[in-house]
Amino acid sequence: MKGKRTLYEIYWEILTFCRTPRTFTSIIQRCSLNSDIGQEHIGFLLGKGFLSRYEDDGANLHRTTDKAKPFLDSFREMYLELYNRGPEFKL
Amino acid sequence: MINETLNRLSREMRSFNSLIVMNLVGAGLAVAMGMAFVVRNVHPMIAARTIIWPEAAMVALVVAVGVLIFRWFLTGAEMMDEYQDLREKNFGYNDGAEESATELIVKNMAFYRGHRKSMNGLILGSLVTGAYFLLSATGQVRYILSVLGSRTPFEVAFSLVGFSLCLVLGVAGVYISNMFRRYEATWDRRLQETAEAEKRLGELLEGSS
Repeated sequence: MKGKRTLYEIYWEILTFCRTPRTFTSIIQRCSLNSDIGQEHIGFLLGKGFLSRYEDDGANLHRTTDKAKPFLDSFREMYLELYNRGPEFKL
Repeated sequence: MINETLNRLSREMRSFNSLIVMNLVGAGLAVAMGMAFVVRNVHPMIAARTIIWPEAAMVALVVAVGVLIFRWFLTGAEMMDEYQDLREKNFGYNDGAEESATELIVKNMAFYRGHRKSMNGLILGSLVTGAYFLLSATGQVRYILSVLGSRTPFEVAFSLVGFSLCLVLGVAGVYISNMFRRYEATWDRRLQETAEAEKRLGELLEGSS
């Protein structure tokens, strides 16, 4: 995803993308992050226990844990709510 | 509820896409008219091999403004390209309607943050161009009234086409700038509310260690 995202939006993207196990490379590619920033964010989410890392067939995979559910649910609810509030843009 | 959100997103994105296209067409027409003006005025100077005043000054002015309009055109084209990407690309991790809607909101928000500055340029560009064409149309009214009885029907029709084009471009310029402003207001409000949401998400992250 291009454009300017907030930290929480990036976390949401990584966690949503990692519902299916993903490699580090695929995460940074899909989430348009450079290696250092990607490492930092993934490290943070691993530290929080929102992501788990395991090895499968020699590949290091990342998967979103159940612990991330409250964050993902709150994020989704808040964004849907703030979007639906207020007038719609139309020509 | 979620279907209504998705429909709303779809309508908004369609509206904004139309706005970008209108803006691009307006900028393209303005560039084309500027070029036509330069060619029409430079040609007699080349033929006479001399600089004719005040046409030369007008050409210089139109070229200077033309550079800005061309930049406006390029900004619009870049914006359209990115917005098409945003509309068409599916990231493949949206396994439900709610996820799809959230993904689209996040994408639109990121797009708006990234283009907020250039959008101000588009607002100014379309407003200035609109005002220029409206002034130009006003200036032509007197000329059209003066040639109504004295020129051939073809010449009068030709003048009327020029006048109509200026009028349409003028109104379109003002309308487009107004619509961009409305789009800004809509997304600025949402961005402000995101700040509040971020605070709560931050607290949630802090509490989960």
